[in-house]
Amino acid sequence: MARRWGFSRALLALVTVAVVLTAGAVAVFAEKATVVHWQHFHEGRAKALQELIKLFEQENPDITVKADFPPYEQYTDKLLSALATGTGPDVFQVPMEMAEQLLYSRFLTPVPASVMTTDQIEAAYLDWTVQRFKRDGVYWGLPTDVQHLVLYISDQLAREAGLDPTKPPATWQELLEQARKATKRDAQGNIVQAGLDTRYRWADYTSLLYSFMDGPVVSPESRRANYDSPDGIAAWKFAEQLIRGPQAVDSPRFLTGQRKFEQSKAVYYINHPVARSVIGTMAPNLKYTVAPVPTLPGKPVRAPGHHWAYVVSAGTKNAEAAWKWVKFLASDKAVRKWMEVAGDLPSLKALASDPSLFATPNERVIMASIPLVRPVETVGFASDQIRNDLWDAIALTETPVEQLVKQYIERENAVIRQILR
Amino acid sequence: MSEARPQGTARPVQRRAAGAKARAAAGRAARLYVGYRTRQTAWALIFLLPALILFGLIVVYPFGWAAWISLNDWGFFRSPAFIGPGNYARLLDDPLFWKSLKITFTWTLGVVPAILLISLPLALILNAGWVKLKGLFRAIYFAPVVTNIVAAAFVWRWLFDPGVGVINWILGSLGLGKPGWLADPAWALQAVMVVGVWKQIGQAMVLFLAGLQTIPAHYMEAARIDGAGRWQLFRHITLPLLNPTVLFVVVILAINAFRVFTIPYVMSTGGLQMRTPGGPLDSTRVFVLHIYDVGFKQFELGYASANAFVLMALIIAVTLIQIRLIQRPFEY
Repeated sequence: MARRWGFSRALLALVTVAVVLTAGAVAVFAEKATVVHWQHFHEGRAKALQELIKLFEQENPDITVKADFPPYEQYTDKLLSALATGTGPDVFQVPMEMAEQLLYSRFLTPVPASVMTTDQIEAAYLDWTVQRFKRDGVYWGLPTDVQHLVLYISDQLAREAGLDPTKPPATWQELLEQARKATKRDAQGNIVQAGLDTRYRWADYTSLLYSFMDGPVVSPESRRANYDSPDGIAAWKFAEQLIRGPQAVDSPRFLTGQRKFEQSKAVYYINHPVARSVIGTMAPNLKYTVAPVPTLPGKPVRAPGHHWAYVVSAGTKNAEAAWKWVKFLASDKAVRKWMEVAGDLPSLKALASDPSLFATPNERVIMASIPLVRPVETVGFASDQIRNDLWDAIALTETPVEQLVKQYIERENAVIRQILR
Repeated sequence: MSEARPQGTARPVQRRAAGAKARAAAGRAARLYVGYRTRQTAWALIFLLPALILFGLIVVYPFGWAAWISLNDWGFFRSPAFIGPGNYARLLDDPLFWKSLKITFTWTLGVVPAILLISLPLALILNAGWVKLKGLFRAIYFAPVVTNIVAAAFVWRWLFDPGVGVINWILGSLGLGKPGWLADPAWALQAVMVVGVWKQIGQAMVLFLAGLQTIPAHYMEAARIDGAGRWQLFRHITLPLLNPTVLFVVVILAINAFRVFTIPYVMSTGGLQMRTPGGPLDSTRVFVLHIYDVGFKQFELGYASANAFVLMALIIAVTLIQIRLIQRPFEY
C-alpha cells in the first residue's frame, strides 16, 4: 500500500513538472499579437498616441501596437487601397462622413459584445459621437478625434487693432466688422495681415452653415444637401463678404497654404480645440483667447461637432487584440490623455462635465460649448472637397454666389445619391 | 547440312525483312527529327519563358483586369455590376473629363515645345568645341532630372508664393505685376508648367548631345569646305541627321506630358490647409490627377479605369501621329 502511494506521488510530481514545463515553453515561445494601427498625421495626436501605445503595451505585454501616420491628404486613398488589397491595418480611424459608405462595405467588424455591449456604449459616450456608426442595432466603431469649432483671437493683434479680446464678437456681423478693422493692406491693396485666417475653409463655411440654417444641412431622406435654401444662400453670401472684393478680410493669395494665425499674421481664426496643440508647438509665445463661434442675433450659439471613429478591419487576424486596443483608446484613461496632450474633446459623458479637466479660462469656454454641439451631417468625404471648391470659387471668381451654390450643390447631391442609393 | 550460299547474299525473305526494318527506323527518325529553326525557336521560348510569365503577371493580367473593371459599375464600397460601355458613355457628359483633357493638351502643347526649344540650343552649345567647363554645365542642367520631384515641387511652391515668394519679389523689383500663381486659376497652370519644363530640360539635352555626337564630323568638314555657314550646317546637316533623336525626344516628352501627375499634385495640395489636388478650381487638374481623383477620392474604380483606357488610347494615337509627322528616312 505504502509502495503504491509512493508510486502515485512520484507520478503526480512528474505530471506537475511536465505541465509546468509545457506551460513555461508555451509562454516563452507563444508569439505576441501585433496590432497594426493607422491614423492620419496630426502633430498633437501623434504624440498622444505614442504615449498611449506605451501605456497599453505595459498593461498588455502580449500585444504589440505598430502605428503608422500617413499624411492627411493621402490617408483615405492609402487606407482603402490597402484594405481592398488585403494589406490594410488592423485598426484605423475613419471620419464620420464615411460612416454610411463603410457600414455597407465589407471592410469592418462590429464591436463585439465581449468588448462593449450596445447599452454600455450608449451609456458611456455622448450620443452624437457614436450615432453615425450604429447599424442593425450594433456599433461598428468607437469615437476618437472628437471636436467642435471655436473662435481663436490673437490677443496682441486684436489690441493693436483697437479691439478687446476679452469681448469677442458674439455675432457674425460683429466678427466681420472687427476683422475688417484688423485687416492690414500694403500700398497696392494686398493683404499683409488678415482679419480672419480662412485657410481652414471647412471650419469657416461649416460654422456659417450651421449658424444660419435651422433645418438640416443635408437630408438623408431626400438624399440631398439643403444649402441652396434662402438660409444656406445667406450663409454663403456672408462668406462672400469675408473673402471677395476690396473689403475682404483674407485672401487665398495671402500666405497661400501657410499657418497665418500661428505666424501672428491673422487676428481671428476658427478651428477645433485640438489646434491648441499645434499653436503651442509652433508659436509657444502666442497669447490667444478662445471664444464660442459667432451666431446670428437672437439665435443660440451652435458649435458644429465632428469626430472620427476607430474601427477594426474585417481582415484582421488579431480581432481580439485589435478590439482590446480600440477599447483602450476610447477609455476614460485614454480620453484624458487625448485631452491633455492633443487638446481633444471628451467623447465620454462622464468627462464632458468634469470641471477639473477644464482648468483655464480658454478650456472653460470649450467646456461650455460642449452642450451646444450640433454634429455635422455631411455624407461622403468627397463632399468636403466640393464645398472647399465652392468656397474657392467665391473667393477667386466674380460669379454670383447663387449661381455657384446651384452649380456645386448639384455635384454634392450626385455624391450623396451615389452613397445613399 | 546447310545449303551453301555465296557470301554477302541473304535469302530473299531475310532481305525483305531487313529492308522493312531499315525503312521503319528511317521513318521513326524522320518523325523524331526536328528542324534547326524549330529547335532554335523552342530554346528561345524556353529562355524567354520567365520574362513572358512576369510580363503576363504584371502587365497582361492587370491590363485585362482593368479592362474588365472599366465595364463595371465598381466602387470600393459596393460589389461590381456589369454595365458594358456605360462608363465610357458617362465620360462624354462629364465636364471634368473634358476640362482635364483640355488641361493635359495645354500642358503638352506648352511644355514639349518649350523643352525642345531650350534643350536643343543648349545641346548645340555644349557640343561646340569652344565651350569650356562642359562637364560642369552638363551636370548643372542635368541636376533637375535626378532631383527628387516631390522635394523640388515643394521648393517651387515656396518660390511661387504670391506674397513672399522669390519670383514675385524679382518681378516686383523689375516693376512688373505680381501674379497670384498657385492661388490664382488664371496663373496656376503656367506656374506648374514652368516646373515641368525645368525638370525635363536636362534629359532632353543629354539625348540631343548623344545624337549630335553620332553625326560624322567629315560631313561638317566637307560642308564647311563648300562654304556652308553655321545656319546652313544646322539646317541641312545637323537637323536632318538628328531626326531620329528628335523623334525619340518628342515622343518621350509627349508621353511624359500625358502621364504628368506629381508636379501638379504636390504644387496644388497643401496638407492640413485642405487645398484641393488639381486646384484652384481644377485649373491644374491634368488627366492622371483626374483619374486619381475619380478612383481614390470619389472611389469610382470602374469609371476611373475607363478614364485610364481613354488616356492609353490618347497616348497611342498621339505617338503614332508624331511618328507619322516627324519620321524621315535617313542614311549616313
